[in-house]
Amino acid sequence: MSVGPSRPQVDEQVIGAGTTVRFALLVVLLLVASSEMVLTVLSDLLGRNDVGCLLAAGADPDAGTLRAFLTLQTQNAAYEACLARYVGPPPPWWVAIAWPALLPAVAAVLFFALPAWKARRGRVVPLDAIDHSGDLRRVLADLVSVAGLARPPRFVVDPAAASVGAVVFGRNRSPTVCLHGGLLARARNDDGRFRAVLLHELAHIRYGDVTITYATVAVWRVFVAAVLLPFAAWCIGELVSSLRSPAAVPALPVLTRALLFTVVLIVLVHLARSDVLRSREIYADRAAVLWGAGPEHWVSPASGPARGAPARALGSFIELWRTHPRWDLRRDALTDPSALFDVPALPMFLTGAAATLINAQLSASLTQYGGLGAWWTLTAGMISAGLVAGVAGIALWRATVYAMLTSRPASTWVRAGLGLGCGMVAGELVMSRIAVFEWLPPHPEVLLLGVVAGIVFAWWVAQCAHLWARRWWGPSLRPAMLLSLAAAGLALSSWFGWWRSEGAQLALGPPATVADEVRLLEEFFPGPPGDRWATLWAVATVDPLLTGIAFRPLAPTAVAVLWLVPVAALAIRPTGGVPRWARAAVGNAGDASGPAREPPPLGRVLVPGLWGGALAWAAAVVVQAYMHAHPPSSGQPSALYRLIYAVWLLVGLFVASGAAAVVAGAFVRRYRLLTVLIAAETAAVVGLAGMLVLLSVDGCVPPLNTLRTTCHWDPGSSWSFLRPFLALGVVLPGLIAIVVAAVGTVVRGFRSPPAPPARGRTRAERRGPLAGRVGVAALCAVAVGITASGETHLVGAAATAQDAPDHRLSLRVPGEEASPQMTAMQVVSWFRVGGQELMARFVADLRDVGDAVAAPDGTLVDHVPVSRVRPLCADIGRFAQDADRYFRVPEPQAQLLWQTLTAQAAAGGADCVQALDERNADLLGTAVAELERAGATGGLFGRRLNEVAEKAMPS
Amino acid sequence: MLRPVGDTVDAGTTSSGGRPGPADGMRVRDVVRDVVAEVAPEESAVVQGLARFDDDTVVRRLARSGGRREPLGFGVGEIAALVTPVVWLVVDEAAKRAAESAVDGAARGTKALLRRVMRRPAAPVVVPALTREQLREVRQQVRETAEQRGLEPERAAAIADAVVVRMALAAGDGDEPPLDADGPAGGDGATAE
Repeated sequence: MSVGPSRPQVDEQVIGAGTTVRFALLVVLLLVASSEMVLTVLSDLLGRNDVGCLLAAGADPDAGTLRAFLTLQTQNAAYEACLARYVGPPPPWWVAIAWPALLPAVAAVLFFALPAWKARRGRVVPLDAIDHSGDLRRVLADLVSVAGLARPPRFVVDPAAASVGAVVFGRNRSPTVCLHGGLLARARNDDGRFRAVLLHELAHIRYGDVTITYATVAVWRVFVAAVLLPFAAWCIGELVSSLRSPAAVPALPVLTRALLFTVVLIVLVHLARSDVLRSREIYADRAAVLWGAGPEHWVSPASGPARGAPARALGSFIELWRTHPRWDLRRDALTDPSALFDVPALPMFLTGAAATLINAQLSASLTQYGGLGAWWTLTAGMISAGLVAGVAGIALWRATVYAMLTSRPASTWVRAGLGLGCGMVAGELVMSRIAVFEWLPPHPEVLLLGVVAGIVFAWWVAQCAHLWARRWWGPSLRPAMLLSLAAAGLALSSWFGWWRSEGAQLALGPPATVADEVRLLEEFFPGPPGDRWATLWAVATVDPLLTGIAFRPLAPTAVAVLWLVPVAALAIRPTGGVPRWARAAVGNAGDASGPAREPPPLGRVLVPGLWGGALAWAAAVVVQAYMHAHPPSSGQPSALYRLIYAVWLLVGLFVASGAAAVVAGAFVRRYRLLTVLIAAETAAVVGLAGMLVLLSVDGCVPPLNTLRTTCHWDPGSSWSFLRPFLALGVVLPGLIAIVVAAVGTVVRGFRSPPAPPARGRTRAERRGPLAGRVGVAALCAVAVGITASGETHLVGAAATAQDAPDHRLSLRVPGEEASPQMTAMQVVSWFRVGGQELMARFVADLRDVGDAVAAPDGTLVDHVPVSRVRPLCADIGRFAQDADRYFRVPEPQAQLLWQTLTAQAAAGGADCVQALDERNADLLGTAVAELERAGATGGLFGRRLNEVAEKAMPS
Repeated sequence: MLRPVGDTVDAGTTSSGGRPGPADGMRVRDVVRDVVAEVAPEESAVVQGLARFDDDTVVRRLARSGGRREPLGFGVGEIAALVTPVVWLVVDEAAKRAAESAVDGAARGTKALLRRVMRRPAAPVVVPALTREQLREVRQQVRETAEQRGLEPERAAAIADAVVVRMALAAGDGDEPPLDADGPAGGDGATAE
């Protein structure tokens, strides 16, 4: 793995290592997980178990999460009432905050106590106690000065440790270096080794590794002791009891996943932390050598790497858990820092998994206290996406820049993206937010979209990093990196938001049929469909998907930054020579300005998009002509007519964008994803702007008259017509572009093609820089305007729709029957959480009425005590109303009897009240007879309930 | 280059009252100090450091072998084959074994417990006068332990001889005669250097 002499040495500090954000990811994960774990256990201890209400409502967990959810939706009011009564509110909000706040507080105590514990009496001795002559202190002072530390650390000695090493602990501001006895014994005879070890430790101090490492250790230990172990114990207890009780069986997958989550968390945190620490060791090693340590002191006590495939595999596996890399790798890394720039799949996998876990847990907490608003989901998504963009994005930037500086092939983004995506999906498998009552979601193939998202993220970041590194001339790449990672993070947060709601829905299956969707469309857009049913069906088919994708706050902005950020890089004028940041990294040996990978000129990238925009105008003209030829049957354009008009305009826009994307992909093969995105979005923006103009002059060209017949300039109405579709108009072309670029890349291979032969400048370039710049600025301004307008429309819509129920969810009522055992559990739950009380009330009222009005011989008494009987009869009437508001009985025959009973009770109660008010003895007799029949029905009903419950649950 | 550190060893700094006088025999730490100064002077600083702990702590810590995996350490690498642990552990063990018959075990256990509760350091272990047989065992034990801990056989033998000579001298006018010129016990034929 040694490097040839011709390869330039790259300064590993060329971009930040991203260590802090990697540790931050772990700490955030632990804080969020602690909050959610504590809330889960606390809710259970407070008796907040909603399984009873769920079953009483007739939800059948065996039939899957979606069916259960839909069943609940049909009896939402009764379910909410049941929850309010039997489950109660969640634990106070401050509990959710208190734990994540308490954890760092306790961890801080541990963090400050750890150095004292490590340097306690009986373990170490002060250096001064054994260095009476001061020789050792002089050597150490020299090393401290070589390392450039402003203040010397405290030195102590662990005389009982035989290893020829040392360790640093404490805090960055007051570190302690502990010399081991073995090293001390070598101080005289092996000065080189002594210096190497000490310089390595001083490098850790210089790089600020101490605080963050031990802070993470402290947080982890407190988390394990105070949260993880109690939670795991609770999970195991619940699992055992659920295996014993059939009523708790539905919770089995949830509990198993919860337990699995704890295991995954342990593995994830341990592996991720070890991985970061390994890279910090290499940084420290390299710094030590830079400061004069001899590389020959990095020797393995054992022989080199294991021989044989199984031994190597085992070695690699063990390596993953260690905080220090193998000695041979460390030694190689002294001369070749490529290990610091590599992006292995495993850390990416862990990052993806951590992001999903953070997102899921944070969403769960926020949802519990903040409602299911889009903004809360967005907040959770932004936090997770920001961390992923920080960790994975910086790693990809480093890999890309290093590959560029050393002229190595840069195709690691595929592996990185695959790892990231697989991690995101794997994280989903241990959470119960899609699949709840089942082990896997009904459509697990949808989970693959997570893998795709990871790959696209890595692809975009890698290409953007390359592009910006080519064009950026500043002394540091950091501003360019931050800009592109902010854009990638925004896009990823949109993805998390979509995944949380729409993606989960897709994985569970469609809640409504296409026919239902058509019916909904007809409700929302009234008007005679005429011969346009095919269009309506097509819209109904894709509408749920597109609505979910495009009509999300920040989705248009996310797409806009994905193409405008590369445009900004292309707009920077290339100048000859090595960029300043590259000179700082490799001196003048860098390859950053080599001709082979020069980005295409902006003009050439924009041309397909501009032509695509023109094509969209032409398509709009065709659509207008078509709509003119098929006028609304009623004369006035109905809402449905306007919808179909807009749909055809959008179809034209998408076709034009797609065409621009294909052309760009075919002709501009470098930076394919970026150029294709730019082309498709340019076409969309230009097309939308053109459509706005065309619609504003509707009525001026008779063959194209669509919504108006008189000619006047009316941008206001055309704007209000188009505005609801702007978000879709800019978001979907972005997705089309990604698909086109992916297909193009798969067809043509992943590697960048050689540079095309030099050719003349494009017309835009010939026209001069000023005209080009004005044109680009105008395009960007239009794009920003359209995006902002689409965004504000979405924000307004989101604010009004935040608490509105999803109409689609109430469409399909499940029809399949539950198993006898499940039915029994449902009926028992129905009885327990309200049915019993209702029945007891009815029986008591009925008995009291009977006692009051019936003589011993069975006839009516002569003088009915009105004041006593009337309230009873009124309560029977109210009982019937309450029974109607309560859940349906989750068994058909019993439900029939229950309906009969409530109807009889309602009639009897009402007649009774009327008879008493009118002093009508005949009517009272009728009422009593009705109530007697209701009583008889009640008896039958009770027997039926017993039958159902006992048949399947003999115990 | 570094010069040897710690030319002198104040080995009794952690002992509490009741420091044994010469008539009680020599303390283990003094034997170790002298042997290390003779055969491994580069470890004098290590002995000096250890001397700040009480004997129980030293023995407990030295008995652990191998390096610890610590974040921000230099890494689990070379373990130095040190003379100090070998000498200290074997001499301590021999001293305790020899003293065992003389002291009531239960009383010692109670004392140790009380000492821990009171957080008072133990009095330094003293080497009593050993029989020839016991010295032979010590010699053998030092050689085995030294080789187990990675020291060369020749060096192990030299350390063993130095230990035995020092312990024999420590016995002073004990019951057993001092070692003669033929070696401490004849045993396996190795001779003291």
